[in-house]
Amino acid sequence: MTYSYMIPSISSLPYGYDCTVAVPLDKVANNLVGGTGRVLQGISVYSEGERITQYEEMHVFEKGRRVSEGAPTFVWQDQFAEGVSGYLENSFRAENEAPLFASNTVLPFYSIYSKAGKKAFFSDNAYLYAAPPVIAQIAEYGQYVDGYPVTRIDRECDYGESIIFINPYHKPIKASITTAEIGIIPGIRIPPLSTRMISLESLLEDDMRNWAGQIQITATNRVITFDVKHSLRDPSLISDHEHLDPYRGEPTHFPATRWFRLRVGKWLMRRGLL
Amino acid sequence: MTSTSVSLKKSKRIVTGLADDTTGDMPPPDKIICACADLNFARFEQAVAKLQNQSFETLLKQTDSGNTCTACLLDLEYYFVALRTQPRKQAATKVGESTVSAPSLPLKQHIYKWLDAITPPVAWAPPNRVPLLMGRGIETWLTVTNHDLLFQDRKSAPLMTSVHVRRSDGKRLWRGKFEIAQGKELKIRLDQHLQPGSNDLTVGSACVSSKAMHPAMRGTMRPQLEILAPAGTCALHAQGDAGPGDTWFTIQNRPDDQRVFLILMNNTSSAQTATISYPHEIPTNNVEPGDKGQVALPPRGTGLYEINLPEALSERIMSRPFAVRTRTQGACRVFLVCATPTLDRFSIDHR
Repeated sequence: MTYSYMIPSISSLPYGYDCTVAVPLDKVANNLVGGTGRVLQGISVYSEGERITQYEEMHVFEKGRRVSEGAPTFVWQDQFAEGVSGYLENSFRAENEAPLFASNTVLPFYSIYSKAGKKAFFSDNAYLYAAPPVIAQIAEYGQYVDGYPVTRIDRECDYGESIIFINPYHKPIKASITTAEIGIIPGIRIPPLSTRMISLESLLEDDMRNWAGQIQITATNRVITFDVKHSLRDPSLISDHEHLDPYRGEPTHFPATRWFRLRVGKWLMRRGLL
Repeated sequence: MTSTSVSLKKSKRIVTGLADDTTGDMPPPDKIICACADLNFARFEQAVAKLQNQSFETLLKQTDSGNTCTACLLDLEYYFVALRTQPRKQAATKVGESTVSAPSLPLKQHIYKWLDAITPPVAWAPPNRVPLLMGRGIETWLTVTNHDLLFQDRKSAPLMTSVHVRRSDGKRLWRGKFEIAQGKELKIRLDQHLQPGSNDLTVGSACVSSKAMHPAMRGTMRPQLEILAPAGTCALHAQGDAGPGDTWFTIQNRPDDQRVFLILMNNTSSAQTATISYPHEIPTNNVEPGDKGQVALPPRGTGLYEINLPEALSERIMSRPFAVRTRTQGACRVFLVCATPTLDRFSIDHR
């Protein structure tokens, strides 16, 4: 089966950082049947319910090589007001909806986040829809539950942490963050086409100095999430930016014959034979 | 969320009674799946069958579904993916004018399916790798959690988790075995098993394997690495094995603000050498990439390599992004570490 598109992806744009999107276009070429075709890359930036930037580039590929001249890199210059953030949607479509792509899965890439005086960090993009772990989760549990096992807040060490919620859809989403031991953050509202960065510090009681543990997140609809580890005093000083991990709906066991096939596949992969 | 949960759970009950096991968790044809568009499942299925190679968004536009209150979007997404990957046999007859019919399974798949149905379940517990980092004021922690769904609804099983720590030359320093009950978590510091070296940073590796003690769902069991440094923390989920070949990272040259390292983990029992070359993919053509370093990796060993551009090249490239290639002959996991110049704040990523 071939496709005229690749599933769009979402990258977060936190306040205080430029974002360099260097898409591995050679992988787009590898995904084209025969390595040849005209592909329209679309990048849109959204914040607070509005599309604030739109960029399109036609890439022409011949026999696995890009022959067009367009810039392979898109740079978002930080321009949000303090405390406001946004997100970037990246898509690839074949010209005239021609079925050129061998696979429609999201093209994985890291965006680079940098700013003078700060170290960079890297973050991967998320599926706009049809993320395989989310699909497996919905099939198994019938609800959307994201999670992150290694959150850590420490007032003495200045370790802060926030969850970025991205709502790329057209209806408001309500979400909550739950822990086993120290309560919940309920009623988080993410307006359409908007992003919210919710600090986990409010989980700490006034007399608590620190906490480390697992959070789980549920919402009225699927929402795209990232975990951000930052200075507690200055949330715009970010150390790390990671995707969360859905509460997995895949089984722990497989039938022995499937288990054996998987082992053989791994064995071949480790030797470069698969 | 409640409506999503209810509708899918209902559909599961309905499907249970069907003889056709390729239907999956699909609702009955007359079930309304988007109330705003008055769209039932049969019409949705027809639209998916007609769609050919277009996207989910095109489907939403064509059916005018999922766009008004959007409450059903998650369900529509699930049905869309399920129908595209496993169209049900009834689809061809119900769709009528559509020429799409469910593909018949190849003989090999039939045999696999039959064998899988009669063989007992076996726990899938592949090795997961995490790099270890040791340095002044730096701690590396491993976390494996086994929590219930939203901490209430039991879905997982007790885990038996084994951890092996190796130093950079591949020698095993420590191993531990832990039972993680449901609702509990394992959090252990691993860098203290390493011996400090002469450099700012010392590396090692850990191999983590978790086996569920009875068939259940994976839940939260993916191991996580956490690096605590004096001014900040970072984390990364553990990685499965990777094959040999090239690993690419795109980075920026910003020596005043950061130091960038590669951690290379040899996942084989043979020694190998990794060749690192950069800068690749610079838009201006006057920069030729070259081999900048080689890292000897003992069996099961771990190496650390700092990416530095020569001064003249650094001035030409400035802060433009460029790609770094690591080439290995055997299975090797490569991690990218970005740190402040004083090594008090880190991030770590993988390929």
